[in-house]
Amino acid sequence: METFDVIVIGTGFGSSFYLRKYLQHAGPGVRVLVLERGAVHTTEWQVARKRNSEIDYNTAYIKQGLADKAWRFNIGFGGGSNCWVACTPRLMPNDFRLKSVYGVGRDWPVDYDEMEPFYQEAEEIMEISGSADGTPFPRSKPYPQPPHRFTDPDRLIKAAFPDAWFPQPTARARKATATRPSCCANSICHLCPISAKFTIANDLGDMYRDPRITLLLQAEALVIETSGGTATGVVYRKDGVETTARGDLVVLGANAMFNPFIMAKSGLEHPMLGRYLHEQVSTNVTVYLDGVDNFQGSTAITGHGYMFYDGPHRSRHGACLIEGFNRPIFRNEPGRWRQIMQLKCIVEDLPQEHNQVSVSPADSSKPVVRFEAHSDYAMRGIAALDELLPKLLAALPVERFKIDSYLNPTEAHIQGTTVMGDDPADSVIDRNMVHHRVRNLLVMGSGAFPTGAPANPTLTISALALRAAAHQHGQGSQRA
Amino acid sequence: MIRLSRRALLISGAAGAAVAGTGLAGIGVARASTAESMIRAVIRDRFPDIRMSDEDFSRFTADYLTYMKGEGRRWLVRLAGWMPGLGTNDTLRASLPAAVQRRLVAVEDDIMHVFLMSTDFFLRRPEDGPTVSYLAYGDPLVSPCSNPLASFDA
Repeated sequence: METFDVIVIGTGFGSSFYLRKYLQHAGPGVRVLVLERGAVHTTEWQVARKRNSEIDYNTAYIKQGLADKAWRFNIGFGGGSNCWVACTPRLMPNDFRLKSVYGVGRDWPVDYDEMEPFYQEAEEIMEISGSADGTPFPRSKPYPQPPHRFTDPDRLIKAAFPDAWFPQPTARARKATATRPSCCANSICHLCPISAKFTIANDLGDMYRDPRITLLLQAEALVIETSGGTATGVVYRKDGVETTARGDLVVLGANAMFNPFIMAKSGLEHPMLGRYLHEQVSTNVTVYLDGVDNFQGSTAITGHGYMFYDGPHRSRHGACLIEGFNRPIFRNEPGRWRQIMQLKCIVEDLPQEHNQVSVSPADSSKPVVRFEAHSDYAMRGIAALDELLPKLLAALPVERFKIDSYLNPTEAHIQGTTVMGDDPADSVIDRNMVHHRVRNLLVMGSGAFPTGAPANPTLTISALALRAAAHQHGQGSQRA
Repeated sequence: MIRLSRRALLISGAAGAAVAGTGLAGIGVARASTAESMIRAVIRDRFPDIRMSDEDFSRFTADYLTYMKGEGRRWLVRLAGWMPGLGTNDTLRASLPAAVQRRLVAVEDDIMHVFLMSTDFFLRRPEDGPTVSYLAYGDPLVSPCSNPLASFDA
């Protein structure tokens, strides 16, 4: 039986960002085992097959509850970095204190100021492109890359809302990097055929060639073994054979669906485990412009609207983040082909206890994912769009606009299920991503999110992983 | 990793079109291929004021029939081929089930979209006249960096 200093489960953002910082501080003799359930799929492989992995994620879990609800993730080397659209907003300061400020949800055990240096570090690793002219959240340094080019409608909205409409921060390169060409606005980011977006394979792939790492592909972690409140190793299956590896530290970074599933199968039960599953809820808006052409931007999503995000309304309904799309769609009207705009309005959900991931007694090979409904808080946020959108669209010459009558089935974010907190009674992991009872088990990812915010979670996942690794090396917050 | 220069791609595509563009013909000229005739009818209907060389148009049509998405849409183009006049004959279209009519409109919208993304339609200046050239097939899975609308200046 092999013994390692660290066993890492998964190769997505949480695992990889943790590992990157860990290796910077680890000695030359450490031994790290990385277990990745999927295979390596090159960009060419993915584009040719129009999918990110040979494993169909839809067959990897048992869906229950709301029929129209879907979940989107990827099983393969690099995890969600293959299929992500590379949108990288930070959370807003008040996202970390929703309960204190607005009396809803719960507060995070960390605040924005503690996260800021790790946000910055994650942005530098990913070489994020973002606004050079103010941001909705405080920053200690400029973005590493200049902003993407606005569309003409973006510019009009910016003129009307200078403090609320920004170029979307993104890991779709504005300028070529050492590993990636610049984005060419082809708008198929989930497959990015030119590898212009940050992915684990593009930018951290070399890390996995470090001689200290043993990377096992197509090795599915099954159970974390514990003894006396200490993780002792991981049982995994590869090529049909179950093997146990011993480890001094276990870093669980599958995702917010499989982390609680593996933990539950490992006997790490907790009243909160698997519960409060959530993600944002969104709907699309089509705006028919009058005399203004669109789609001059340099990337798939150009505008980012914060006018309905933070404020007293959050005591009544969910915050809304708006994305302005630059993916061309056309009107069938000569001379007005491009006088159309698509917005996505993304509303935060309040995590609810009954939405959960669990293990089925009948089939323990897959997680059961039960989502009953979005919260009333989120649905009031969607309903508020009827009143809010005309305020935004007053910035544009608009002929008419249409809000979709349906909600998008998923935002491809899985959050909650291993919630972080200071009180072991009402949280699974602590502020440093360490399991409350098993102190040599770290749980990465957006499962830690006590509340979701309307912003995309990936940058926060990455920053939390860097922060957790820093804490392990004594560089964390003084409050830790 | 595929690395393509969008500018180089657009320039090479335009140069090719110019060579092929001798002997301009109206889009309404009949062609042997019935599927092609449907595509031609859609383009003529939605862009009545433009011209395109037969060579460019044949390249666009061939690429569309090669790369068009979805078996359903492919089937509908074949249906249009088997029923000459489907693209323009309103009586014939009206005889089809409503669901088929809706799918036909979706195919026509797709042809329009791909045509706009495949040509220099949006790159022309007013003084360039009505002739449109084929640049590269306007599907990023086929031509990753061929978005004719995107701008990359500051």
